[in-house]
Amino acid sequence: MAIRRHTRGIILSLCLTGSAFAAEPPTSVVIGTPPQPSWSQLTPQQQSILSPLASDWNNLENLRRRKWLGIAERYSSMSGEQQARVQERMREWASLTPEQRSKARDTYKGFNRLPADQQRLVREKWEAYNNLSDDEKLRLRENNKSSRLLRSPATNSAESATSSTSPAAYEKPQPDQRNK
Amino acid sequence: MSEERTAYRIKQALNHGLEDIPESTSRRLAAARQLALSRQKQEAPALIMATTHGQSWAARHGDWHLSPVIKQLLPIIALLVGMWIAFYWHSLQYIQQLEQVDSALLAEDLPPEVFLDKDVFEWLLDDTPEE
Repeated sequence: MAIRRHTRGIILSLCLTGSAFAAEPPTSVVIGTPPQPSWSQLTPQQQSILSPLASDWNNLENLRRRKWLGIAERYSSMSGEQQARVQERMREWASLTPEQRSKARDTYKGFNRLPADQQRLVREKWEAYNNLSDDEKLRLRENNKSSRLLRSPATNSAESATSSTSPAAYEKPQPDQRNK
Repeated sequence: MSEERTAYRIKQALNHGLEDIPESTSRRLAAARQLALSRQKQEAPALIMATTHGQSWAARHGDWHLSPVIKQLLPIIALLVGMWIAFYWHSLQYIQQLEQVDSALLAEDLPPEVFLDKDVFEWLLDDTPEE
């Protein structure tokens, strides 16, 4: 148990360690990035992949245009499912503030360093958590450990009569709220 | 001593001979002298560049030379170009890392919002069983 807690501490600290990507790129990087093509200068294939960014493209800095063109190059090596996810999330990601993107990248890098079984647990917990209403999410976070999310629906149903913090959504899943 | 005397006599003979040079020959000699002098003046400010034979680039390629202003600007231009190349290289590395993280994050099973809220993420990460 002590070893487990120690490991968790290390993992948490890894997640919280300094940012590899500051919110604003270094000036030398901004200066060193050559001018990038406007939307009309992109190839039809690039326009198709980056279509969610069409309206914002000409307002993006050269550095971000170059990054998205790089992602478009990697796009062909992704599975169909991954390609769909990337396109679905592209616009929302681009609309975040630099600070939000920077924090998300750092947290994601911490997640990537976790052992595979812990990554799987986080995914399972998130799937269950995401099915709850906003109120239930808040109550659960305030009163319970996230391990409660991994209990079987039967156990939760039995407890729901006595506990006000039971994730009732296990019995009646809510619509997907990821894109809210 | 006799050598000096001989040299003096030769000099006298040459000076005397000058009076007998035809007018046309005298004009050709004067023109050749002017031409030699004009070429010597042009070579003096030419840019000296190291070559394998110790011969300047300008000497081998005719009358090419740089103005002093350009010569002063050259080191500055070279420095600026060098700095830009270093910045360009840095930007390539930086953007490549961004591409790598962003493409993996956007293609991930978990949506980006999981990684946006650090509190929720840490709560999900906490695997302490309930009492």
